[in-house]
Amino acid sequence: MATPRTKNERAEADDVLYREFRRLAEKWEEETSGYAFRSRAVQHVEHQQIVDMGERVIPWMLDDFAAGQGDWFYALRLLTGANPIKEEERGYVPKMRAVWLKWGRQHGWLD
Amino acid sequence: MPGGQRLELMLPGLEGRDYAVTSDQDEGYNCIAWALWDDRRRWDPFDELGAYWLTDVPRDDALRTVQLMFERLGFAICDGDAVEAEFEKIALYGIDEMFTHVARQLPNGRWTSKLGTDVDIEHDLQDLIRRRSPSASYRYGEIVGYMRRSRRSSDANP
Repeated sequence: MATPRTKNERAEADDVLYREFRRLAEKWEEETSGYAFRSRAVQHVEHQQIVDMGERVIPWMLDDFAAGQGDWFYALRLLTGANPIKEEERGYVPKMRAVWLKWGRQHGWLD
Repeated sequence: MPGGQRLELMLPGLEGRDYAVTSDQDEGYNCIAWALWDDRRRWDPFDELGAYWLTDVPRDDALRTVQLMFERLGFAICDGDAVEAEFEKIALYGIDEMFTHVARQLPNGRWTSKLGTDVDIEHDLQDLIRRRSPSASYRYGEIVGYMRRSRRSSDANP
């Protein structure tokens, strides 16, 4: 695919990527929600495809966290190299989302 | 998609069975947590997920590892699924040597399960593995064993 050059082309490419992100995220959730361990879920191809989209998906993952949803803990670690969760916060999903949101704001991924 | 239909797609053995959804969907805890009366934390051996795990238990999803973790928390292997008033009892599911699920026994002899990041259900053990047809998919494999601990031991949960 050619690199988008104009503002409109970039917006259109972003829109296509966003819709694909949402489609893969929904399919991944459907196929893995019953798994005992999310470590098994992140081995699914949809999760890998989302990570392969690169840094562009980071704000969308953080938007999900702001809405109280999304299971992007491993993807965010892979994409950012960061690990902001403290030992005493491990396992507490709402708290972990809040920590990532704070990290996202501090590092310019969110307003 | 209605909740029951979604669950029966995930676990076809539930179709037509007398199971009941007993909670809202909640991503905050999983089956191991629920087996240990913990509805606030996600337990997972994979370090990079940021989930909770006992520090002195290996970080893998082998049945033996999960069994070891329950042993650390006061459980011991037992023979079957009969209700014993002085014990709480769990049933482990697996495929080959891989852990897939754990259910906790209720006082009435039925079982309660947290289905991954989905809902809690009350059910019979076979409901999660029953196959409607030879080609029907199933997620949790087989029941591979039972463990029990004194009801007083649950105070020792981390």
